[in-house]
Amino acid sequence: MNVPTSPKGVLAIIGLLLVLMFAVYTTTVPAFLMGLVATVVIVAIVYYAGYHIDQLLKNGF
Amino acid sequence: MIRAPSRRVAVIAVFAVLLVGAGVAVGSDVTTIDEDTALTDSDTIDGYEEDGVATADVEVPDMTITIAEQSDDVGLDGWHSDWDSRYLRLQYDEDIPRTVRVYVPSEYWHPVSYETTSVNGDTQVTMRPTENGRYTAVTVEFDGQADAVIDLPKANNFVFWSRDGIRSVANETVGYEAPRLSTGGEWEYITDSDFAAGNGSVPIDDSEGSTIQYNAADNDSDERWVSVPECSRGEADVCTYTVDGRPDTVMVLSTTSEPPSVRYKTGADPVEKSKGWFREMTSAPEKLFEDISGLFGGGEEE
Repeated sequence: MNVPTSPKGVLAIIGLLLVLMFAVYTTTVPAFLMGLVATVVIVAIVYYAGYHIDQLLKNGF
Repeated sequence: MIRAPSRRVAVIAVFAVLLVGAGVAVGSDVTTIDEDTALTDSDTIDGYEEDGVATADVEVPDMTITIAEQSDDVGLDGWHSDWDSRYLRLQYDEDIPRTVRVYVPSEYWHPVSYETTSVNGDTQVTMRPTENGRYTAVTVEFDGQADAVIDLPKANNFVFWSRDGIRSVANETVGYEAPRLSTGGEWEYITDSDFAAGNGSVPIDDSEGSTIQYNAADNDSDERWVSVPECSRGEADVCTYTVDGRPDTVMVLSTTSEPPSVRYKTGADPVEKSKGWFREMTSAPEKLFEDISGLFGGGEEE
């Protein structure tokens, strides 16, 4: 099995797992939709945090 | 051989009679005194308007309620800024932990939504408008004997008074009634006996919408109120369903012999509903962690 190692692939996996978690553990539609919004926010934060950490590592502190 | 009624049975019977006689309704968790106090008497209200102090003694539970404009009248020491405050003192004289609800008429202050802690301790107090703005429902959690003084800022009153006034003017002038984010009102609790009496189902009036939640916390001491799901969405300890021919009624079904605590209020309350959905969403990681821990043998100790 090819495990994605690109940033976008990892982010997709994270997002997919979060969506799956909310789909399994929420029992109402509005709560699930809130979970989707939270997933987008978390993935965005991880993406931008990773981007800035990468920039810091490349350019030095 | 027929045994004579034990002393315990007799004590329970007498206690039940006293409860009925006192007119105190005991919900699953809340002792509802509501408007059954001297605070609603016209003499007490007149006295408050004249002297700035009103007192009401309650027999069951044993407590005294005082409303005052000055901190001295509620036993607060030290300097307090009385010009912006109104005080509510609740002296609870029993050792039993209890949650008590009492209604304060709008003659004392304009009904507000407010949550705070007593200024002289850590007693939790919640206030909500109720009875179409006729009263403020004050709910207090007592861990035992306590003397709690609540400081209700007059600024809060002014905000709610202004908001309701503007709504009223808009409604009377142009006929537009602005939507409310919160309908206020009080939670009603469904007890195990309610479920038993209805063969597991309890009807809720849904003509104006309803907000129904259950306590999803793992232990009785915690509270995590989340929305009750529909029965069609899968298995749950409690769920809701509708019946053909009864469009204004929602049925709450208990699928277990020990259902969790269930509460509801009539009227769609977007704020409370949103809070319930948010709590449900944030509980998902915890449930996932528990299941994963269970897989690796880290289940709860019995």
